[in-house]
Amino acid sequence: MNASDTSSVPPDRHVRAPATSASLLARMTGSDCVIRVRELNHFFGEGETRKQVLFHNTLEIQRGEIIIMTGPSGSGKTTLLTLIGTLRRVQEGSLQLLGQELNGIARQDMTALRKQIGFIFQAHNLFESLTAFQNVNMAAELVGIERAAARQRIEKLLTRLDLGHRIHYKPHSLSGGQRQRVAVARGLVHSPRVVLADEPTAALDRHTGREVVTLFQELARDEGCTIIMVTHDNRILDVADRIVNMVDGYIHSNVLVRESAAICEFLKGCPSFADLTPRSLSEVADTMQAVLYSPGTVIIKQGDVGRDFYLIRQGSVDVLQADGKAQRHVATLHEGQFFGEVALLEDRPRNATVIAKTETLCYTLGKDAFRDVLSRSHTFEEELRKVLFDRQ
Amino acid sequence: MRMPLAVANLTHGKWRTVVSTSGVALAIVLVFMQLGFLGAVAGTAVQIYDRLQFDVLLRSPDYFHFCDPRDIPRAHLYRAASMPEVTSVKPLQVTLATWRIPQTPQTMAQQTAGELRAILAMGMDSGANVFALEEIRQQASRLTSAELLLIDRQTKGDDYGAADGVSFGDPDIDRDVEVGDRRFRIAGHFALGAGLAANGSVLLSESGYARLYPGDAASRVSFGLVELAEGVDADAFCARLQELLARDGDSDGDLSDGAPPLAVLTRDQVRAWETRRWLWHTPIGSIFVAGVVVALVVGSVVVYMVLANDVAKHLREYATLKAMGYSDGFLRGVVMQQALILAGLGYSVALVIAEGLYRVVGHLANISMEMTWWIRGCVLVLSIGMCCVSGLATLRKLGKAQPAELF
Repeated sequence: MNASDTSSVPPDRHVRAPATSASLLARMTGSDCVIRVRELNHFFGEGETRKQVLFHNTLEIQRGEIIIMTGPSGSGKTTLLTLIGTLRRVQEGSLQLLGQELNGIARQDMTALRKQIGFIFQAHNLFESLTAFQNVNMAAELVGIERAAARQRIEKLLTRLDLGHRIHYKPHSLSGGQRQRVAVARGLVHSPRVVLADEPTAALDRHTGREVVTLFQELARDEGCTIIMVTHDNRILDVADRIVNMVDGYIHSNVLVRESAAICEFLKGCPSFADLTPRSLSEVADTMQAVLYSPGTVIIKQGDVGRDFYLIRQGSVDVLQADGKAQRHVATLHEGQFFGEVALLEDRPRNATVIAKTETLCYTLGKDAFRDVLSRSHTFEEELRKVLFDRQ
Repeated sequence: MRMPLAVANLTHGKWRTVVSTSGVALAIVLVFMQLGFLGAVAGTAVQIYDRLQFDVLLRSPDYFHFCDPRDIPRAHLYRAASMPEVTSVKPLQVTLATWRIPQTPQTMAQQTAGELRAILAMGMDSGANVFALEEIRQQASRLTSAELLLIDRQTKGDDYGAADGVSFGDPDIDRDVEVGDRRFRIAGHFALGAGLAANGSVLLSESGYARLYPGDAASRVSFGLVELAEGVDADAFCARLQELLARDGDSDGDLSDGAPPLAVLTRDQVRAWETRRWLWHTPIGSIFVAGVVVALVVGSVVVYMVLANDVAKHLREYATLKAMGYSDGFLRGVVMQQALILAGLGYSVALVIAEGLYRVVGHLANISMEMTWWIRGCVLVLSIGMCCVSGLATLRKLGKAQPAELF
């Protein structure tokens, strides 16, 4: 473990983090962090009118991730985006972009860093006096792409975005959607390592909107480009690896979409949760905590008071039961299996000891939350009605 | 090659650029006109010399200006005439005298009759070719007595009491006038133009001039007009003559203060001296220099407004450039390029307009407005300087381009 990594804890303690946080998984899969936000606070105004807009934001974003940021207007998501994009100065806390600390960064380093970012603005901000091609070329030129290569690349990109016939038009003779696509091409042409996009599909129809997000996905997959989008377009939510929700300047939830889905699948296999709706399941998934155990750690000790419910995300555990003086191996549990629910359901001490066999990642749910979920499953019928009503 | 954003910005807003260019051109035309007037002052100042026939001019070292030239001993003229390179030496007398139309029953109706006016009085050998003007040569033959004079038609006729109240001409012939309180009769007229010191001029015979300054005129003259033989270098001659006169002075021993007894000047030196005096040692030059400064200030403000407006209009685009990672230097370059292009466009338009205006104004005001290469170059440099100053002032506005406000 890295000593400078503030998320590390001494080896004799368990590593604990929200179940859907990327950090633990990332550590296990070894991917690298492109954006690391720690305890970031931000203020607008001076003196008496000074107002805090971001509170203790902590966030890690990996290479190749596609993040969708949601939240009501005024929740601070745009401020966070401009801070990540070096368009605002970091005031308090730490923000590392591509390995460089932005708090107190020198001006020329900032300018250099900006060349590795692709901005896509909702208001397009195209250069009115330049053609679509020249607009995109402004970005290509800056990073010194060779002329012929740039031309080829720009034409390919614009054609891909269904603008092949409008390459030499100026913005004022393009429709809103076409302008937006030029802005997208300009944000992507220089193979940025990070793309920051504000409603990139807002003015687009279903088909072209899909084409834009497909481009994003290709960039993320093939070039490891990290994409952060602010969007309210629920047609494209499915491309997100993670959804970060902000409310009143706090990161309200930070959910790995696929991880959340996986937990839901596992939970459905548990009889106690079988009749929960998908919405309740994902809420449970979001409240679970991830805990990492090293091999040989005692997770549950027989006779203790039951406090948590456990779901094995990765690794395996041995279940041992003491019968008189002898301790008997009852079972080995693997990924997707769970334990600890009996003590919570029947409110009695643990009936067995569980020991991590390999390095094991478990998702846990506290006793109160577990009970709460169960009580909710009685209202299944009610929820079903609500879902049906929503569909109308 | 970099994308020519400055050019694109200017060609994109065509009408805007046309209006901006007009504004800049207007300011530059003003500069052209002021410099033209300045040139005209200098031109008018040397105009009278341009009409005198000489290769080398002898005059007093204390010469002040054409109407107040002081005088030199007539002997110097003889000394010069004795040199082999010289073909002729002619004296010219010049003084500023009073002018008056005497009050008579005929002139009672004239408002200015009896009032004094300043007039340039010139006395010359009526048989010699003092002026390079055919008309004066012919008219001079009428100066057969000391009581006669010729009057310049360009004398302000209304103020100086011309017979028709407008300008002097044939009706004035045989009228009696007073010059320097002496009675003269008008024998003819000519066109010359007195320059800047007086509003009129008259031409007298040497004997007529002698009536104004009895005694002096015989031994002393205002100017000596030296004409050289074909192929003689004027500069070398000047040096030789001066050396000769200095030696004479030594041998005579009558000049104890060591001051040069005589100024010996070529035509170019005379012109340069006159130009310098009128442009820099009189308020006339300063007025037009001030005019140039004012025009430049006006021009700077116009260019500043145009550029500031342009920057304000493109502020979001400039902020986007910053966000993309373009340096502040690049943005400054775009603004300065626009400033220089405006300077170039404005100058070209202004040059064409000014060429036309010089002719029109020169004709109307009867002054010589000449578009010289010096003026063209000078205005070009001033225009570029003006636009650069405005461009630099506009750069501060770029600070308002805040990329954080783009989202």
